[in-house]
Amino acid sequence: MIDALFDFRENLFLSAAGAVLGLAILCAMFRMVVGPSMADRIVALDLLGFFAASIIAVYAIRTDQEVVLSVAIVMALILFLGTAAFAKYLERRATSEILEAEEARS
Amino acid sequence: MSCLHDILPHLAALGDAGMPRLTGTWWDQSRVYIADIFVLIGVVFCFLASVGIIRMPDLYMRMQAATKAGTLGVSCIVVAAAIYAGSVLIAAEVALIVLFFFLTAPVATHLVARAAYLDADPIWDRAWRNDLDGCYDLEKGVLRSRPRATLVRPLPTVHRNIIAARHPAGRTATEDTPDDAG
Repeated sequence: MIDALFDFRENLFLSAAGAVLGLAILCAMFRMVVGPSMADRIVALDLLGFFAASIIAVYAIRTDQEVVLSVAIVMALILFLGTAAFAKYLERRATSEILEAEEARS
Repeated sequence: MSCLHDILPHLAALGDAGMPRLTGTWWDQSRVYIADIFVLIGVVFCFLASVGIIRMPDLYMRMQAATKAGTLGVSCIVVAAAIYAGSVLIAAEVALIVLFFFLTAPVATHLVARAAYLDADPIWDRAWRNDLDGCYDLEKGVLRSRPRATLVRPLPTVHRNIIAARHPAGRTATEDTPDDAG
């Protein structure tokens, strides 16, 4: 019975966790493709990075290689850099557009 | 050498994923299942984050659903990896990951929300309150805080009635009913 329990957790449980995470990644990619504004796409990209780190952790548990968790550290850092850069770009673009519109009006 | 030959198959059997985790202390026996519980919680939160980012009607609601649930989910799964590994080095690494996520996710979300608000991203049409209305100075790019008096608005009538019923001689009651005071 204990063998069956281990088979379950080695084969089925972690695979199901990975499958659910894959489904979540599909949902986030749907929002990234469909998302009406650019900020939606940035948020979806952020969430994709979260899910990627989760899948890396599940893979580390499943295959007994905890070394891959270093990838999750790098992913956390680069994710923040990417999101901040996109947000900065969006903010500068929006501000310059608004200022140009005001100048054209006045 | 022959001794090594005798031991090697047993070592190979120990390296198998199943049995050796059953020997040892209580923590060695049960930490795999504790890790499973953490994986379950994390996966549920990640799924909720994905449902939220699809179903929410508004960028700002989508943002809060994605960031809060996503941060908790990824933290739970990574902590599960640390519990499963059971080594201090991996635990330190995982603590670093969780610290990074908890530090950077709110900052990144705040940056995106500010940029989206400046980009005139539409707010949900059934939202009834916008505290940032007219607070941004676009030429300097700074956020002015609004005077305190404009933020305080009269309570809805239901709340005023409840307060008056609870404190019949209180300040609110006398303010709301000037006829009694006069």
